[in-house]
Amino acid sequence: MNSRREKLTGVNESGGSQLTSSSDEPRRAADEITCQEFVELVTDYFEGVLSPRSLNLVEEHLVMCDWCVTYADQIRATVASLGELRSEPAPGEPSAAVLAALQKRRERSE
Amino acid sequence: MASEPGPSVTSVRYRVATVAGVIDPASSASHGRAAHATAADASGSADAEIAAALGRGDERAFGELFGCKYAVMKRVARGYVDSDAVAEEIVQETWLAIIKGIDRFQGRSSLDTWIFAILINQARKHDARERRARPFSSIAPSGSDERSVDADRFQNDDEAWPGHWATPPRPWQKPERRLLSLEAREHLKHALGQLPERQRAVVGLRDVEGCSADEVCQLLEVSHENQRVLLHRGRSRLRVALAAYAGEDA
Amino acid sequence: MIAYKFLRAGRIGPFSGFGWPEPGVWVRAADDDVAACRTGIHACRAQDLPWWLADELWEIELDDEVQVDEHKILARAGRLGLRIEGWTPACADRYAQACAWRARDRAIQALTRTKHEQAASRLAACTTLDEVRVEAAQLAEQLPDTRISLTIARGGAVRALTGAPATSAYIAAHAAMRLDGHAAYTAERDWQARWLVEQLGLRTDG
Repeated sequence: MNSRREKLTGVNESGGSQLTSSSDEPRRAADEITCQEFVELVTDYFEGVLSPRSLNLVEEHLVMCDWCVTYADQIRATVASLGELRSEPAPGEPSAAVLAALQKRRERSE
Repeated sequence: MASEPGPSVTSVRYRVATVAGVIDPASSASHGRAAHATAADASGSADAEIAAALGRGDERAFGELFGCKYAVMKRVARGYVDSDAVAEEIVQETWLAIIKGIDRFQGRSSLDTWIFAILINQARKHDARERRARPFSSIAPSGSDERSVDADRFQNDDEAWPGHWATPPRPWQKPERRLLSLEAREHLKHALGQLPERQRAVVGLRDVEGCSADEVCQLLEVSHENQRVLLHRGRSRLRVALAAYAGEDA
Repeated sequence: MIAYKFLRAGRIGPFSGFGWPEPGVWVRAADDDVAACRTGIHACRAQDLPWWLADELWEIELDDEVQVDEHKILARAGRLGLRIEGWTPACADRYAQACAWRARDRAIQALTRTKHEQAASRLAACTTLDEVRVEAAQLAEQLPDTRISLTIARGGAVRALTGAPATSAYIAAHAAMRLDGHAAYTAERDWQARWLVEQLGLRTDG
């Protein structure tokens, strides 16, 4: 049986996990990612920069791993919560010092 | 099938955008960012004109630029410090530096990038002062081997599914729609403040302020890939913080 | 050509969240280049089905230029056809169970190979998946040399019992691979595809 696993090319690694080739790993198919790999790919997934191959791997994983779906939901919830932190500042005015500096420029150029 | 949650990640904008004519392609403009005046989108010549006008102390040019940039400058500054008052100081100091130093703007970068470089510099000075006052605030390293989730959350090579969850994440109690009670908000803000600076800047601009990836790369002068790495690490840490707050083992 | 497509309840794309219109209405990709996985309509041939389970199964008619990708096909445009009514929660449960029983069978094989005949009999004597769950867990603790195959069988039973058909199928494929390598993995997936085709009366030609 030929169980040599191909290196997964084209997988962007935002999180620093290395997907390396190895041989004779009975517990891993050549064309799957693990949960540990998924969590490092999740940002690239949301950013839409995964290669077609990697995207396929991610989606196939998400079909059958509801835990990773939960994890992805948590990342999304985190992002949504961060958006809630945004506050519209009151309109501002330049300070006296700023206006003075501007005035100085005007005088110098006259 | 009722108990099979199925994949539910739906925020993948680019996929939604693929089917033109049936749905609206996702807008690439980020929501709510300060509307740019012509200066921001313009070619170098528009930047040069504005810079020249500022150099002459032109009040109208200044007023337009100030009015257009103030809100986003304030928000970016807020990303660096804890108080609104200090953020205001930073913005005003930045404008002072801009006016005094406008002769040094040579068009090598856009005016926007130049302005924000000054802003970030000012913000860092304040941030450094504040951090010295909090000697034990954690400044966690962001080394190249930083993991989003502790390795012990996954099965090791001796187990049935190496690399798969050993202790899977449990759904948080509150629906994501209304995650932030006042307390949770403070917790998240604190966690954001604890991020390493560059992660905090990227997460703040992307996720809090809603800037696009392109904008952030320009403002912070980082590559897209770097920006993604920082975004990834920042978000991962903040998820951990929120998970801890939600009572789950992060 | 006619292919198949899984959608979430309400005709929602499982990853895009895109809401598919009612059958007969064409949906077209934005770009001309359908090669990029991002653009284009995704669909399954019969042999691809085991990788893509979701709430609803539909026939989908694709326009002529179809690209074959890993475990799916891509087209520039598609429209939903008949809903496969046989794909119900009950059917998905039966599928999950069928897969879990096969994972159980692999564990029995593993026990036989490691000369644990009594344990193999005990596992073979289980008549419900809940019994499998309990028995496999006990045996896994007692027999370290077959622990992993037994854990896998237990996992398959658990996932079938908790209504996770895609995972149960994944587990069964891995149980096969553990014993007999990649060829067995592929064969197991093929078995799963045939199960779906037969149970649902699907067409297997384009």
